[in-house]
Amino acid sequence: MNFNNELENKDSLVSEIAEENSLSIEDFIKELEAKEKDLHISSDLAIEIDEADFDDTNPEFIKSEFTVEPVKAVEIKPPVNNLVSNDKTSSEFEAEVLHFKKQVVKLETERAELAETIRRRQLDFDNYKKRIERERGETFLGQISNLATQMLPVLDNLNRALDFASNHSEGRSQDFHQFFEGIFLVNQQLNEVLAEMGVSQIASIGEHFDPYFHEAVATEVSAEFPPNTVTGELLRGYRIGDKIIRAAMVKVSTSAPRPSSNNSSPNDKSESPEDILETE
Amino acid sequence: MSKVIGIDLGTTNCCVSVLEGGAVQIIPNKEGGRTTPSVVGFTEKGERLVGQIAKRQAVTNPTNTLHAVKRLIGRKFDSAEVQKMRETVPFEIVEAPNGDAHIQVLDRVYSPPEISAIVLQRLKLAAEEFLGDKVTEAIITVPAYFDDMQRQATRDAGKIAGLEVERIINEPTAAALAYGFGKQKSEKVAVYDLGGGTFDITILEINDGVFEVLSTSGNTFLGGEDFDQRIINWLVETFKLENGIDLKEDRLALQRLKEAAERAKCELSSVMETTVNLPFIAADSTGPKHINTVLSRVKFEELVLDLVESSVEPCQKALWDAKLQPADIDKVILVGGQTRSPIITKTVTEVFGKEPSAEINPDEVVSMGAAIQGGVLTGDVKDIVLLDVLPLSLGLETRGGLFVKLIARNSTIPLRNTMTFTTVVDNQQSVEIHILQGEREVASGNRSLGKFELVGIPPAPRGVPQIDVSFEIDANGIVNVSAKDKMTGLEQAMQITPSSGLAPDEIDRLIMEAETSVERDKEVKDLIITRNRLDSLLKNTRRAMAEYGKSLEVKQQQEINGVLGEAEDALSADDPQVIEEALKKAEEAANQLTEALMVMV
Repeated sequence: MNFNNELENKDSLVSEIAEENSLSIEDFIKELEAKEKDLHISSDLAIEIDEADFDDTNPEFIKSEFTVEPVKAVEIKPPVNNLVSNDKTSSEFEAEVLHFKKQVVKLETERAELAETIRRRQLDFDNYKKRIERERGETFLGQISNLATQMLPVLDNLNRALDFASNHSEGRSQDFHQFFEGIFLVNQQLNEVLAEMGVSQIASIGEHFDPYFHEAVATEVSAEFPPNTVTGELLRGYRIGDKIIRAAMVKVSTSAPRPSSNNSSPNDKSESPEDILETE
Repeated sequence: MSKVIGIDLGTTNCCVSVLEGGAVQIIPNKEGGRTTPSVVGFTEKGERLVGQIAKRQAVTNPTNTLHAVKRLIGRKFDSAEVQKMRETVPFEIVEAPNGDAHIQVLDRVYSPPEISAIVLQRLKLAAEEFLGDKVTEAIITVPAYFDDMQRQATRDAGKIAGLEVERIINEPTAAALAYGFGKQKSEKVAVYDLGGGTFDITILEINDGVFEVLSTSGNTFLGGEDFDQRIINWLVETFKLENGIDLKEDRLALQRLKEAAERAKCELSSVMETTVNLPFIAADSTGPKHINTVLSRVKFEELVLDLVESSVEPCQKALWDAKLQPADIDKVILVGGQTRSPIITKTVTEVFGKEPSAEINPDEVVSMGAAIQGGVLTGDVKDIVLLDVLPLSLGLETRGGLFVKLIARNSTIPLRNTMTFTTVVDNQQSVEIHILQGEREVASGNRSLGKFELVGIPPAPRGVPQIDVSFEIDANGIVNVSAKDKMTGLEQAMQITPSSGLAPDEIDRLIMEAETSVERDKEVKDLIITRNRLDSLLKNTRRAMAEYGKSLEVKQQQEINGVLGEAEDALSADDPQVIEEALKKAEEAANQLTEALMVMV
């Protein structure tokens, strides 16, 4: 943005003042240096800001902006003890003092603006750093969870195939059973790989319905379970640590029939409850 | 000045973003989503759920799960929109004492701003976590056709959520801002917005920082969800024809179809055909059935043709209302996820005679524009000035119930305008000043904001007295109306503060409530977690006791059973401390049991 411009303005102003009055005072240098510290202007910062925002990739440029130039600003106020030895008339002095006072105010305002800009940039950057740090930690989990998200439908379908086969295995040949067992082991292997990556299944049937883990797609009156309990799992849910990869798609018990949850066909407009169901 | 966040508060989804280091960042929610469903659920335990989590429990709790509340905000109960919505939603919309549409949830009635505030509060929290700093200011977008009352209601929602709403801006204006408009001299932009459930077309004229809405049109019941539904229907019918099984009766199958349809739709945006692959979708006596169908883009476009075509007429109407030809439009911008479909691009190109712009993510573009406006206010963006405009005209009712505009819509505010009126009958001693807002020529077709009387006009033939009526709007949208008899200097005035139907003290109360509810929500959640932990520990320990308990000493058995009995009672307690203590004791008992068993082994 125009942070660069502000720096340049300041620079030109400083040199302008320096030309007009070349007197300098040790105290004032110290005072300014102290202010510099207050502003936390350091070469480190300059480089950080450079990384975050500057187009100019040369940190030397920024270093010089911050560390060398402001020292010249010392020469703003004429020292009091030198007033006596000066040949100028008092009115000239007054005008000059006024002029410098104005310059001081101007510079102070600019300095405050600059400080504010730096503070904000620094805050932005600190946050950015923190976020990147946090995201770096999450990236690994994120990648696994992305992979798992893509893989889960395959696993679901394999499970569906196995379920079907085990329900229809009666009277089949020995070969079929051996083949089935093989595929069953493949499925187990796949589950083990997921478990090793930290992906675990979400418990559902018999658990208290919790929308943080479960996604309800239907309700039913149940004699077996207390209300608001998961009575059936239509699709297994998975998590990795605290992160939900996919909520378990479940049926939930109710104490009484809820006509309102069934009164509109799924073909209706978007407003029916089943239509606002989606998995992430 | 701290960061000002930009919020797109949509009918189906919300999006929040912020300007950081000169670039707009979309702020993800706690679940990692870049948009948050505009759904709020209230559980019987007093928990308030927002977004995806609320959606997941909608089926079990339909009457207390609220969605599309934006359709109710700032509206009267007996308005057509509200009545139409009542027919389709499972929750109860009731009439408030002031005639507004409110919502009955469990044993409480909520105003729409309160519900929107719950969503906004969640977005605010996400932003604070993202920025690592308090967030108190926001820009919120609304449809271009929202009147002052709806805008004020949206502002109130922000206030209740603890946000100072610095500006309310139009959604199409925000989209245009995100595309960098507002820097050049004069441009006309059409914004085609096909969201999840609504379609809006707006024609803007941008002149020196003034984003003027020339016209707006649309269909409040057309959206991306209709497109998905067409694919689902096609899949269901094809399958029924081939296999004689109706998948609509199977909830799981329907859910899988819905996901597959959405995926197919997205894929067809970039490829010419896609395969819908759903193994084991159903089974009958002959064995398992699968769906393995190719859906081509041509077929998809055939399925949704009428939906797309229904958006053409509003576009033409908007052009007509703006008195423009397609060639007058400098640029067309696409907003809303559904506009990713090539058939939309094609149709829009046909209507406006030029390719629309879609470089910016159409789900996020509105929120991004709001964030840029936030940057303008904090001084981070310097080359744009966005002026506030009056969304709808202001005026008076005159003879014969006609509406006379004193301040036309799109006027930049603050602003003042005066017009001179006279009497209609001889010796008329008083005049009624009835202030209205709207675009209709007949006063009764507009929204009444208030009325007062100027009395004591000296007897004179009709048409002689001169009464100056002044309208003055300040930067906050507060309207001051005064009427002055020129001859006597007699003056009467009235102030109209934009109102959402919520009184200021009511808003203050709701702000307090919202603040405490964040803590309460957390407490309730913690309580439930602890209770669940206790519950499962109890079950497991009971199981272990039943199996191995007999091998313990009788005294130990009694002790453990005693603790478990206490824990059972504690389960129904509402005091977190009681449950916490019971949990601690139960854990000790479980440890004792484990230790004892270890020794035995």
